[in-house]
Amino acid sequence: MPQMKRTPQDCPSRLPENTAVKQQQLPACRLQLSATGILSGFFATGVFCLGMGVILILSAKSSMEIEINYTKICASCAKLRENARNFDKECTCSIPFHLTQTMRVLAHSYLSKACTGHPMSCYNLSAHPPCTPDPGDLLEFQFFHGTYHLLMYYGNVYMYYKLYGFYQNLHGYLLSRSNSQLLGTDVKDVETCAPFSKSHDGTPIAPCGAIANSLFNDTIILSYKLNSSVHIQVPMLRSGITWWTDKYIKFRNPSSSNLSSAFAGTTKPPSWPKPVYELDENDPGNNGFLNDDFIVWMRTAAFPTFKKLYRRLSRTQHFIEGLPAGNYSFNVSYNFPVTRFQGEKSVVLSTLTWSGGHSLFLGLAYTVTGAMTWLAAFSMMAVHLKLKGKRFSPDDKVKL
Amino acid sequence: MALSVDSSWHRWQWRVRDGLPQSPSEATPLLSPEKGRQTYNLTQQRVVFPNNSVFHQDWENVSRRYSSNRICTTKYTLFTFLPQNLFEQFHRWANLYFLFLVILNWVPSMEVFHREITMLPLAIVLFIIMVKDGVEDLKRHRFDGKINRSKIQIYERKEQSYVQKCWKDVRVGDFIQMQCNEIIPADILLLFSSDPSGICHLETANLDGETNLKQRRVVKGFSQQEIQFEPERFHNTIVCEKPNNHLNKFKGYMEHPDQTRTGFGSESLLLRGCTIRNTEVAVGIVIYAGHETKAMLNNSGPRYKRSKIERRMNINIFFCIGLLFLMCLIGAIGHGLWNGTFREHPPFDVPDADGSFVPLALGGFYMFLTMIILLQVLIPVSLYVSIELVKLGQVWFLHNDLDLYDEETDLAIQCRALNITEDLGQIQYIFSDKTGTLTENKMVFRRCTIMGSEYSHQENAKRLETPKELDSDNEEWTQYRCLTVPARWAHGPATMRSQRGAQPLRRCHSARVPIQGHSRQRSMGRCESSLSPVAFSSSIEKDVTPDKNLLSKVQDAALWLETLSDTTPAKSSVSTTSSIADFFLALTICNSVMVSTTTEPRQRVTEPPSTKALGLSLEKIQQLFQRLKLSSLSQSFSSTAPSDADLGESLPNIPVSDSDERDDTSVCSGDYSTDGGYRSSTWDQGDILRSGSATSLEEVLEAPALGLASPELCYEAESPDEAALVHAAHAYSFTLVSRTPEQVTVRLPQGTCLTFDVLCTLGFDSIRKRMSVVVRHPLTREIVVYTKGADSVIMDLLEDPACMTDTDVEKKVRKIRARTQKHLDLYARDGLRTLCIAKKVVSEEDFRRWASIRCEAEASLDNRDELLMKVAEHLENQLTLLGATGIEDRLQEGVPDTIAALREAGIQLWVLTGDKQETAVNIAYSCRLLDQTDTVYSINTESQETCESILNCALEEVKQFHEVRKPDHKLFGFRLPSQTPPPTSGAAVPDIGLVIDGKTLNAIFQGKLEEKFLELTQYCRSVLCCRSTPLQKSMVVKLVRDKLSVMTLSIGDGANDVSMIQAADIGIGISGQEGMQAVMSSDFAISHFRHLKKLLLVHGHWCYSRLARMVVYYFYKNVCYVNLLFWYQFFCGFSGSTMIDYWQMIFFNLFFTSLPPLVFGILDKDISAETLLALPELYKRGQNSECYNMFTFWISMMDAFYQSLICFFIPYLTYKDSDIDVFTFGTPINTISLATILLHQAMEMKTWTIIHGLVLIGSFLLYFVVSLVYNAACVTCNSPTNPYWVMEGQLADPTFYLVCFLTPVVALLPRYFILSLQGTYGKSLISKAQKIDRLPMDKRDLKIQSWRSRQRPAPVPGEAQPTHHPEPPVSEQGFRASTPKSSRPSKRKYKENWVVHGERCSRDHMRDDPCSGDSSAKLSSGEHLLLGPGRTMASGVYSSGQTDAYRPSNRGSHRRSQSSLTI
Repeated sequence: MPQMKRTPQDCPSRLPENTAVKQQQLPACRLQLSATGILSGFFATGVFCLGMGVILILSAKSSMEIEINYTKICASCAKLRENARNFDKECTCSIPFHLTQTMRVLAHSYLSKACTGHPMSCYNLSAHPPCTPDPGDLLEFQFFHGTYHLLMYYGNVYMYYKLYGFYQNLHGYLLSRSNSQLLGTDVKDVETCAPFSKSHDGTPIAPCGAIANSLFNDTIILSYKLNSSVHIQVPMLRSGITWWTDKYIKFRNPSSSNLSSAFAGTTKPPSWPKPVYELDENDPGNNGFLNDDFIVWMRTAAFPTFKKLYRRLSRTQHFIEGLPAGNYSFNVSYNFPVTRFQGEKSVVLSTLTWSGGHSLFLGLAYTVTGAMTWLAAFSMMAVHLKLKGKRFSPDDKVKL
Repeated sequence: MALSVDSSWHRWQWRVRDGLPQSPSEATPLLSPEKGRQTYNLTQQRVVFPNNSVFHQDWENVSRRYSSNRICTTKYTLFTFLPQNLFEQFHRWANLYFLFLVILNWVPSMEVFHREITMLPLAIVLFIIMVKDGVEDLKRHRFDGKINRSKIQIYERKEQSYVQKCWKDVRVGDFIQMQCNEIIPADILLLFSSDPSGICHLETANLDGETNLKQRRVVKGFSQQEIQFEPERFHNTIVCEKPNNHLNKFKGYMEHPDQTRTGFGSESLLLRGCTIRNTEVAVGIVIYAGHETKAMLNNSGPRYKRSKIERRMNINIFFCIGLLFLMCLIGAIGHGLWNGTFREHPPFDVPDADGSFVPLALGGFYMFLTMIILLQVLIPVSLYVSIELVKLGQVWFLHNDLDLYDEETDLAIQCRALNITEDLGQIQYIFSDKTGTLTENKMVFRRCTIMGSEYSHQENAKRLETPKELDSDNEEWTQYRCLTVPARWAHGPATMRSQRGAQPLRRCHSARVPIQGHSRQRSMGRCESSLSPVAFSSSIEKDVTPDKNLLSKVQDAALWLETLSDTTPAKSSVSTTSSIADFFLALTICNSVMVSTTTEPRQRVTEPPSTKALGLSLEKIQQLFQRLKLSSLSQSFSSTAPSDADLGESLPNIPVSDSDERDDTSVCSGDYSTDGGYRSSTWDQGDILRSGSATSLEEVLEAPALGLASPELCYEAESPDEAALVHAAHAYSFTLVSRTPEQVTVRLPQGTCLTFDVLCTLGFDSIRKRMSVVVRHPLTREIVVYTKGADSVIMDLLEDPACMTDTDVEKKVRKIRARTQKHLDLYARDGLRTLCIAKKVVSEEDFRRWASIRCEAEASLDNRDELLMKVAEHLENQLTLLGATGIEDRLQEGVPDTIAALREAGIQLWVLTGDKQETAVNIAYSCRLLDQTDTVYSINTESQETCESILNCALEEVKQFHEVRKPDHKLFGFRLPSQTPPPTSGAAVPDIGLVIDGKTLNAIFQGKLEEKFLELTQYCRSVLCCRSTPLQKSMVVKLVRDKLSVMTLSIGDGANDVSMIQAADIGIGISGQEGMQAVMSSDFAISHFRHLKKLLLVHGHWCYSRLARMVVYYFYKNVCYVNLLFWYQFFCGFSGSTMIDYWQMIFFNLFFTSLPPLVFGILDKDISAETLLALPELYKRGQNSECYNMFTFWISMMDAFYQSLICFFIPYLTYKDSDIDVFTFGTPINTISLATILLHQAMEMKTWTIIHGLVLIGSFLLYFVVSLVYNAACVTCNSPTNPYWVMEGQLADPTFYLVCFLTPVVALLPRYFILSLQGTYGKSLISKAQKIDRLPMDKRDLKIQSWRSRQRPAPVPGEAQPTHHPEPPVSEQGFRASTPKSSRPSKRKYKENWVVHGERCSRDHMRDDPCSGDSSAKLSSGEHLLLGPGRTMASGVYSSGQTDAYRPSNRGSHRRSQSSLTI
């Protein structure tokens, strides 16, 4: 058309462009929901889930865990701590237990569960002589102890403390910290730490906030009865229990030659016995904000029942292979009050596998899911077969 | 109120009436003699001083107070934009809610998130909407500017002349000079018209959509004036009403300097927006300007439309609020209980800043508010933004659809309302205008019958029906036309015109050529195609291809006519030749068409050119001269040789018309042999003619030479069918050359010009339904009355054949009449507008007597109109039938098809038109709105009682039909008289159509009969409301919309549809010839009715299903995500803490999961466009709101709960008792929920394009990237949470992957299970259609066909009828095509069907026998039929005194559209 060429520029057409996008003609595929495709998809998923479930269960079984709840065992200490005025009084208790190779996994899980819930029943189950009170203790308390027959641990062994009913995830509690203070840039930045930002005289608290103030301060020492008389302390490392980034990036001490001078002008949290720069008397590097226990505590737990990594086994001497079977005891210096909020404390020894801890849940969930998928697939197949017979005959009749 | 509908101007009454219709006292109610000039009360009336030197001071004083002509339809100005827009946005309660939350978050004890962060979503939402509103307003502003800057001639006092200025500079009191075809800028009082009789023609299409010309008269006292109007000499002041919105009510007076007053009314007011036509210059004084003009006052702003989905959504949001309240309550109570378990405050229970603890109850209350903030996402604010964006995207796609683009006008669809796209998918009722919407409003001459022989004009029909082929071989066609229409011999300008004229024929291209075929270039040159400046002169009407058979006869007749002067007319009155001549003379003369020339378009030809003087000698000389010229033409003649062959080829076609005729006659069981004999005689004539074609052709070729001499003529008619007839006559070379009130000049094919003295014109009125012209024949000096009118009227006025002296003649006359009637019926079936042409020769004596009576009648004052009518009846009787014409109000392309598809989609279609009932019914038939088999009830009454009883009766009857399906035989027994119907037709309940007129509508509305009316309409397949005013149209729409609570759509093209467009849920304007008013008030503007099909069936469906599913998905998404936070409250002492970092939460909603739903909402196609178009039933899904209703909402809610439970508790149980910290626990949960939500989305998507895939995968990856970067970069940024290195840590943990795999699988398993069951074994229409969609092309078509054949008969019983009769819409062609082919026996069968069909098709309720041959049977059937309704209301019928009273006529069948219910 010759005259068409004439006015292309001075008269732009409003003709929509004929592109695939504008005409909604993009090449598109529809997800094929054919029976075979779906069924095979379902079956494949089922197989995968079942397999994964079995693997997970097996691996969870291979990891071991022992938990000793010492709230009731150290009830006298607990009672002492209920009264805030006794804060300066020391109170320790020791919890002996027995690790054995002879117990089977099944029994172990049963026992550990039973013990977790009811320490008294554990005691009844295995009537061993009660342990004697610690000679160094001025106060006389009746101690209970149990002997725990557990499988020997292989590999790394971690020691956790576990708190029941301690809501570290409370909204107000979560907020009450000063990350910039912990980063060491500004020690006096306590703005967000209310109500534990400043002491009565107005000096900023370091570390400020409710989280720091409520730091878990029990000390737990694991000792191994080499033989009837010789008790050796199981060597434990307190390093490497934090996230690397926490230790080296998020938590920094204010830069100064001397820690105490770095924290000059601040005061300790109200419930702390010692200032932050004297947390670890043994290791000067483990003081201030860089104290491992402190860092671990500052990573607030997700649930009211949580465990936090306390120590890990230093694999030397007898403990190269882990914890050998035998008699052990925990010596707890009981400082952290839990009975005030109906909480409980326990100490946990655990090994880890690739799939995490000892929890069987994931494996079971996978197994169940796999089973469900198969069930669904079978029922679909049934419907399919049933309909297939039905569907074709009437349709064809109509067509004819 | 329309200008036309209620006004008393009659269409064809163009002569100046003798006096003002109202006496001066009537017209000037404001006039009170006491009032002096100083006591003008400006609060009650408007005083206008002219803007000239004399009154300048007064003008300045007064006109300042009146608004100027600048219009401003924008909402905001630059300065008020921000505050006003914000103010308006906060009218949306969702925004208020979020404002409330933001404020709440500023209260320290309830601060959940950072204060600034909380403001972010709200700010984003507000900003996006603000930008959108701003852009919209800017567009409006630009449009206003364009209008304001239009130019007009204003009288400038200082320069004493007219100066071109902008519209916005027009002030009240200004003198405006308007040229022909200019649009009137303000309401103007007409003071001068170039027309000597002081008349100005006006096209009010912009206001009421009517394209016929209306007359406005110069104010009395100014009509007899000099050539030019002198504003300086205008010394009057004008007093009139305050501005109001009554379009046709206007009163005022003009005070002369000598204190005398002249009244004027609305007949002198030119309204803004109208167009001056046929008047060279008009001058007036501005009375109202700008927003005070009647047109603007009538144009109320569009009402805010909220889509159905949005309304439902708001209900569901209230559910969400309830849910939120419940959850917050649980949180508050739980917090209280939890706090109560502690005897003393535990170390983790942090007191206030001052160390005090809040009391338990107050703490609970705080917690309630905190939880509101925490769970705020439950109310999906992002949904509002997303919906806006999705709609923008949908609108963008609508804009870009090639199928909705019209090449001719270079217009794509315009979406003016951005927020109701999805309503397009839920329409249940369509209200359509007729003129310009269903039809092109272009009358086209289609066929005619003269003296009982039918001329089918096949070439013409072919030309009209196959515009596409025409386009392809354009050249050939022009050649062809040159040959066959010699009068338009190719001379320079004419060729240009014809070529340009041929362009519109290409319009169908965009629809027919597959999308890939669109070339950009095609439309490039199309821009200049502007609207024709001349009313009713589109090429389609003008080009009539003459029927060859008739053409030769016409030549013959013309020759005969010329010889008439020599020999006195002694031939018999039924001579075919003379009748043909008379017929064409009648076509040419009997009208009120104005003639103007192309070269000087507006120069009215009122005097025949000097050469036209009648004189045979001169003509002979001319003919000689032309013969000489012929040699020069021979070259061009040879060039047309191939087309000549064409002509020869097409000759054998001619008998087709006759065979058709034969068939028709055989149907009519009349006397076959005599009939055949008669026909053979006509044949002979034709043969003779053809044998002499060599000479006649030569003579034909002479004509153009004269055409060369005179410029091409333009006809301007008041009604399009007049123009069509004149053009038709022109095609046969009977050319109307000029017209004055006294004389009409006609050029005959030979070039002879005959000038008739017009003795009297009896104008058309709707009561008489005819018009007559009394002329003195220049050759015979006889006084001839040419009458044309509705067949129903004319047939009753014909001379009684019984009175004939000669039995032979009598027989012949009867035959002609019967055959004409049959042809009329045929035309009517084809939906043509029929007009009968008749003539009568009056003796000098009789006429003189009659004229004196008429003079008396005209002089009388009291009941002048009635008297005039009576007088007219005296003349218009004893007519001789000449023939009849069939004019087509051409349907727009694809209208029947579109209507059929829409109906199949379950949409009820009503036609609301201001047009005449006959026309509307005709159109309804031709566009398949009504079917031949339908029972049609017509209700025309003014009285409420009658209306009520009619409605009752109709209802009763209809209910009977529908209830008693089995004992139908008895019911139908009387309705089908002699021939027993085939069982199928008896069993099928006929569809019901309802025709109702404006007066009846009034009665319904006033008499509180709405309920009954609606009940009746529910049984009706289609409803036609004729003669309805714009107000009534909108009332009907509102009635249906509100009472039936359905989704309505109005479509119209004129300003008379504006109110209807605004009343409906969706208003669609057709941007065509008729102004912009409808478009301006519409929500969508399309260029053709047929675009509605794709707009609704495809885009509507898509928009609806996309948006509905997106909304459901959004609810799901938010509930699912928010519930995660809620479940966590059970593990954090209901303290309102979150395990997910707040930034990540915001990002989650803003970035990670926002895009896929958007893409889904914009792009997803549940079913392909082809399938949707092929299977209109799929539209019902939207009508029934299947995608989004209570059920789907709650299902998705349940699913959301389930999924959130899974998404929370699987990680919880996994990480339970471990040393996981809060945000490390949150990360897998966030990831899982993201995966679940995205996979859920993926499952919802029916089609996957690359965009879908990219967006989904992109969102997922974006989440990881953003999380990784954010967690790596942010050591202290989000202070308390501090998610540093969390993501990195998680990615190194195998448990994370294990959880992230398992949880989505478990969460989505049930849904996927059910979906795949549905997808594979689903029985719903949609899933079936989807299955079809997946098939390859060829299989798909097969499947669709089998589907349709299976589905069709059941829902639409009327559609089964095509088995009897070939496709109804193209019945002419179909009919013709099938007839000759059918062999003898099959023909027999066909005939039977035809009869049966005809029986059922008698459109009246009465079921007359269509076969006009046996009239006695008909009479009886007609009487039978009154049984039910007719009798009961007989009294009411007659008392109401309407003219169209029921007459048991023996010609019942031609009164097609009147039923026994007609009053």
